[in-house]
Amino acid sequence: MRFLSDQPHPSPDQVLYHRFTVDLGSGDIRAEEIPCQNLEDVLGGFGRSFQILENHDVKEAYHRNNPLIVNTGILTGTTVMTGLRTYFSAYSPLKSSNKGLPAAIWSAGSGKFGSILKWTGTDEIIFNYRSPTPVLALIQENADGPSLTLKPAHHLLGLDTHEKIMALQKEYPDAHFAVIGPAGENYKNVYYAAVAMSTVNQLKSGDDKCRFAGRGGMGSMMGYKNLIALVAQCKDKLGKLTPTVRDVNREIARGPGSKKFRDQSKGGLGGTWSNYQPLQKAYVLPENNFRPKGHDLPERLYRENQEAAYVIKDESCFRCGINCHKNIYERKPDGSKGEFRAKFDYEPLDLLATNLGIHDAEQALRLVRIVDNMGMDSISCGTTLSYVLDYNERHPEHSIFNGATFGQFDAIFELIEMTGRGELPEMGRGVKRLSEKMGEPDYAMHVKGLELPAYLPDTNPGYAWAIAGGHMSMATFLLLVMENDTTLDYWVKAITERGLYQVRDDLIGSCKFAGMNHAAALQAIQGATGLELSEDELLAAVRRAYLRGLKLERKQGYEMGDYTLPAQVFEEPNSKLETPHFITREFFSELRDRVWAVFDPEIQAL
Amino acid sequence: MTVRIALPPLFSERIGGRGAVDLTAPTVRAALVKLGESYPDLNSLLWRSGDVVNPFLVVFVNDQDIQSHDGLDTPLHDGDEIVVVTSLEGG
Ligand code: SF4
Repeated sequence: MRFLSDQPHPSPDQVLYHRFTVDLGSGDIRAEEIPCQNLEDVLGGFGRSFQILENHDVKEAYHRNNPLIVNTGILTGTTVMTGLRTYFSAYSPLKSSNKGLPAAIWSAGSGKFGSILKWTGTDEIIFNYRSPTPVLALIQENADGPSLTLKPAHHLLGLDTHEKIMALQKEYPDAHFAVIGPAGENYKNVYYAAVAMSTVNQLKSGDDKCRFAGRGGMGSMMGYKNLIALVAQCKDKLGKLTPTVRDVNREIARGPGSKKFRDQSKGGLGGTWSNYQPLQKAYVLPENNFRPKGHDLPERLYRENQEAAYVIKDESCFRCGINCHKNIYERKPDGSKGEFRAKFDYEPLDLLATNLGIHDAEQALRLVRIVDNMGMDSISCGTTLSYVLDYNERHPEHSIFNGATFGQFDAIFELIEMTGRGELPEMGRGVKRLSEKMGEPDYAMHVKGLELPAYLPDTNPGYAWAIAGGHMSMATFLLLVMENDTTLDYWVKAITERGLYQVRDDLIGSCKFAGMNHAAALQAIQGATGLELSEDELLAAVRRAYLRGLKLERKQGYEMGDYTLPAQVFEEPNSKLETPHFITREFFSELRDRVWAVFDPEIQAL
Repeated sequence: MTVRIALPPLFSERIGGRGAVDLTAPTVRAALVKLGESYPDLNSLLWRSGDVVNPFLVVFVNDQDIQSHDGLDTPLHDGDEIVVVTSLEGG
């Protein structure tokens, strides 16, 4: 980004961002500096990409008119330690309205790729159309600015995510990478392929430690475009640490906002994995397709119950002091660290183990790893799988696929492998399509066509207003457990006044685990870029960006009936939960009216 | 005893973005009660029925979990820092 003015508060058109527009069909590449039109453009991420998508009419995700936008946020690549985000945006092959039109979505991931991309001088790449042959995009820094070259990528086909990154590292030793796995290559039959991004630790150790932009099938979009990898190559250009950013970083690394994600040995609570205990205590830990049983089997996967068998190390993407990754290594007989096995974050662990009826850590490690290697979104894959297992348990006489039910590790593993290879299109196209085909959508755990993360819909009516993944774009998913409030007033406020601001970090380029409050985010932006904003300005831009997401859903045919929860929530309350059953059809319908009464006029005024 | 209570975003978003509050109190319990009195919007996060603290909160004094001391009755000294953390966070 380039600021034309040295004023602390320049008008948006005084801020330029660098964009490549790549015509993958013809190979034409245009480079330009574009003046920002508004604060959302300046902040970046989906704040900018959704304005681009707004101007495209797309009826099918796999269509030449659907652009894939890769961009960063204002903090990506800065000295702010969690400024590591890369965003992928497009109309999703997975998330779609009941009318069958694809919804706009973004997906974000950390790792070092985004920082290097930014350091080449590139803020955004729009990939239009489709390449006739498999290619990779090489983005480099030259004397006269950034360059982008398309190169053949046949040699990468068939490799898994980690293998692709290691193969690319041999060709481009000082670069970082964003790649797809076999699932993305089989995009026609896998709609929830992810993009894997390299980490410093992965390239140094050779261990399989990518970070993923998982939601909404952005890896499938890369596959459709025959874009197998992105390679960003540039020397490190971390700027000078200003005293303001030093303070922000200290707060991120030591403050209350990230304490949950830090290791216990560093005064933290041990990362998202430690959600297991409190959720299990209230019997709201998703089990057997989001239907907790009220027993103690899930406790076997508590971290404390695995410490003896494995060495668990807290590691990071790149220069981040939070070290939220919980990487699991074999424990050698002498107690030292052996071979790397997989990472245990809360979502993949629950959705690929407990929620599939698996309570054994060895099996969980293999399931988490195979999904990563195939390059699939662990949330969508796990939640679609749990539906299959549930269906088969309900219909032993006419089961589907290989007949797998809960707890059958070998059969589950086989389903994942086959899905990743594109051999099970009905499984690979997500739970909405599958459940409609089977004629039993009531226990399919999705909202608006996107599979639910590992928090029960019975506890969160706010899922209906999440625009890019249930827990990453509407912060209402833990409120019932935290506060136990079941009044309409409370939920209207939670959605319209607080929950939506969770997408702030999906503009600015910071990892959400930094736990920055708005004042700290403003301080980070000021300290890293010189841009001074008021809290009102920042929040207004975030709100507009979020509302534009709802507006885009309407454009793609979303109607009142799309904004709902899985019918099981209304019809079959689970008496095992310790939280109250309050989401009745009447409650939800009134909530919907009141939420739209707030949002509708604002959407119209956009 | 004058102490500082540092709060996570879930709390600070309800009190105008304030990330920390200074107050005087002799114990952790008294500090949390005072916090709720000054900012009633926090009471539903701080307390369950009566004076039972929300079981999904973890409270530290100078980086030590109060459970390893006297719980809510842990005494405070001038300059202590209380940190309130939610034991549940998404991701
Ligand atoms: S908190 Fe975790 S995911 Fe986020 S930047 Fe730090 S190490 Fe990476």
